[in-house]
Amino acid sequence: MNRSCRIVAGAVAVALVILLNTSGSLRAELRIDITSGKIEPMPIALPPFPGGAANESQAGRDIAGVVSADLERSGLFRPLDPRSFIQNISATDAQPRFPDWRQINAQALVTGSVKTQGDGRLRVEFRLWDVFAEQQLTGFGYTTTQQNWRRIAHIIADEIYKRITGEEGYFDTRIVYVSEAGPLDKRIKRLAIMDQDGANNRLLTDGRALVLTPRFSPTAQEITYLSYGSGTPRVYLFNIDTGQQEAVGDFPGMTFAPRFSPDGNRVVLSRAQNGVSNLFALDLRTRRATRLTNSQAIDTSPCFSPDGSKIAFNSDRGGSQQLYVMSADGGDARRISFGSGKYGTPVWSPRGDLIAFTKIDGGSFYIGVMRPDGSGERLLTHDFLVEGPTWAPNGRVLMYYRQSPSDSRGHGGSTRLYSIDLTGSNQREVITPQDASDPAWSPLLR
Amino acid sequence: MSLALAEPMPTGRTVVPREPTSGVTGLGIALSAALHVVLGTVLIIGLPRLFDPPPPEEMPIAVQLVTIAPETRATRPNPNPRPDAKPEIPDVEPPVAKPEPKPEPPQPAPVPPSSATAPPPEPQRQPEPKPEPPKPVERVEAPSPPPPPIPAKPPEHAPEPLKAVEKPEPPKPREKPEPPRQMAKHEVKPEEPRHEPKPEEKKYDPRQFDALLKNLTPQEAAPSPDAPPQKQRNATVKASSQPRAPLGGQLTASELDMVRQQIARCWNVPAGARDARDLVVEIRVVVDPDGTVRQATIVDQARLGDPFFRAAAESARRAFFNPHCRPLHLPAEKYAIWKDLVVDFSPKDIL
Repeated sequence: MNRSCRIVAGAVAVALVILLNTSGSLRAELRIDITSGKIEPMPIALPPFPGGAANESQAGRDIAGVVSADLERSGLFRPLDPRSFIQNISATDAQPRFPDWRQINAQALVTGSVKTQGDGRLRVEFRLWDVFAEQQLTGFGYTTTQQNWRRIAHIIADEIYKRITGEEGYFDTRIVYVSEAGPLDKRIKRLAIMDQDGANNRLLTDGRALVLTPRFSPTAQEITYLSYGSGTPRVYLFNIDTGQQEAVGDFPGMTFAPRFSPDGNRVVLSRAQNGVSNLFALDLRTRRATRLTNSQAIDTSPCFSPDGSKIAFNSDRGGSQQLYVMSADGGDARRISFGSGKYGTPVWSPRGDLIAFTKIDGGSFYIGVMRPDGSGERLLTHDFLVEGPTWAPNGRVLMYYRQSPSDSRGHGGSTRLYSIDLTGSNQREVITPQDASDPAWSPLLR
Repeated sequence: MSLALAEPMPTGRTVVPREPTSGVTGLGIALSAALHVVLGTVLIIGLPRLFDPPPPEEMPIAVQLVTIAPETRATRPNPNPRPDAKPEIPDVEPPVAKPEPKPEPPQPAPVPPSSATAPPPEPQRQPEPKPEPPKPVERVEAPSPPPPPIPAKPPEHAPEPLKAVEKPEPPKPREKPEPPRQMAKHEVKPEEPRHEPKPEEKKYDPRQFDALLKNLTPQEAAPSPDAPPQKQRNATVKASSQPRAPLGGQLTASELDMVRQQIARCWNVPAGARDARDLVVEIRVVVDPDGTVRQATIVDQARLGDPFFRAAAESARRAFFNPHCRPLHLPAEKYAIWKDLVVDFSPKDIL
């Protein structure tokens, strides 16, 4: 009994000591878990970049305007109305008056300057400030020709996006697409290219040959696309800088649905022959073609995974058109889509985490995403006709085209480009001078 | 109606039974009267006592009084700051930013360390972006001009901006270390009334939670995307209603809940980032007695090299500088408990 009493007493004493110690430490450090928050665009102030001469001030206004528009379209930033600004940033301000910016609820502030150098080129600098912490987050300077100011603006927007989100931006990019004009039964389709925000639009082909499905090379200013130039639909390469075109490979029959490999050295495409379509890979250096599938079905829309190890495609080999993933050499094909309706045009995200696709179900078209194993299917948008998803280089935004229905007299049927972010809540029309379809997003220009 | 009719009926009959009882002695009547008086007094005296207990129960509700106190205090400074707001602007800058950087050398945010560390990274990065601008020039317009700017840009830009930033910041903190607290109070308080209007809260929660990861298909969506949003709200409610008894020390559940909700309202979650759910950030916070956060340090400095973690960590740290969270709503009499806080931010319930 005595022993047990002593043991109990000792245990109690130890427990008391531990309790006292822990309570002391708890007093010193209270711990709180925050598992919810708000999800809203970050309020950011982008006053015009001041400059000395009139042309500098104009460039400063223009650049701030383009940066602001880029960030706003991303849906992650909310540029504040310049009329609410209290401090009028001047070129001599080394540091902003942060309370002035907190006052208008800005969380981030971008200041900059524009100067004309002796050689006539523009020197543009910017700094991104954390208004609450009163510290500079990043800052760079650029020099370029006066006409190139828009490019600088996109690069600055990318830097801001990257610093705040931790991810690469996508503003310094271009879109190649098919520009459409004329009545539906006599449509003229030309390759066109523009900045990601719709600026600097220009036509690449003259419209004599029908063009479809342009795709950007991930490594060069090169496009692969389908053209009816020689009568038979063939896959071509187009060099944006030189304007040169050439047919890819020498296949019998019709080739279509081309796409580059991640290293830019190969093109995967479909070849239709004798009523079936199979997938081929063409090495652009050796011009040698490799057969990837050999089915009695229609295999098409091949797309490499960003690491180049796998290819996603759609096939009706199982009875209805569904999505499949196979190894890059053509083996081990596995179906990944199992929802209702038909699935097509799988496009692997540059981040590798998702595959975008088009789905036709119940007479309606959808654009959606799923994980490469087929799980987590999520439909982002739908309409009478939505098609041709293409990823921004950072894998957070998709662009696609939407066609409205046409009547029996050929009216309607307008085709426009749209962008939508992965959350599905930020959908915007991309303004083009004419009707537009089949967009393809370039990699970052750098 | 039926009740009204029923009552008069018994009264008429009761008259009869009284007569036989009246035959009892006068003592009985006196006794009964005395007893009634005693009972009446006991009841009267006893009733108040019975009612008294409820007030003590209401006393715990006094938590509300505690919370009201900081708000009322906040209103006091308001009048002052408004007139002083503009003139204070120059003074205000140093107090808020300076106090934080001084104590926290490890933080990237603090001015002295950041300024020291920041300059090197920027020059390094500059070479990268610089080639970019020249490229457009080369490809699009003129190849010759771009190369020269590249080397010149990095050295010029990096040193100039950084130095300019460094100089003003370090001296200020040293000059006025203590006054900043008061200044901060004045600044923060005037802003609070403006921001605190609840419309913002309402806007954020419903829209964004519902909008996040929108899915058009109810069936397929149900498993992954639709479920989370519903869980989010439930999760937040559960989290708030369940105090972490062992860790919460002597703060009551409602006190913890209040500050937790306040911080959540100030935290802009890095949504959409890859693996954002796994980006758990730990912030060590030192709070002044008035509830104003003096220091907010990212604990895991080693991970700041990861741009995703850095973005998440800075978004969490930014919450404590949000005007809505200055000051934090904490009971003043328990300052010893919450003067040092560790706050874990995890978006797992949202994303």
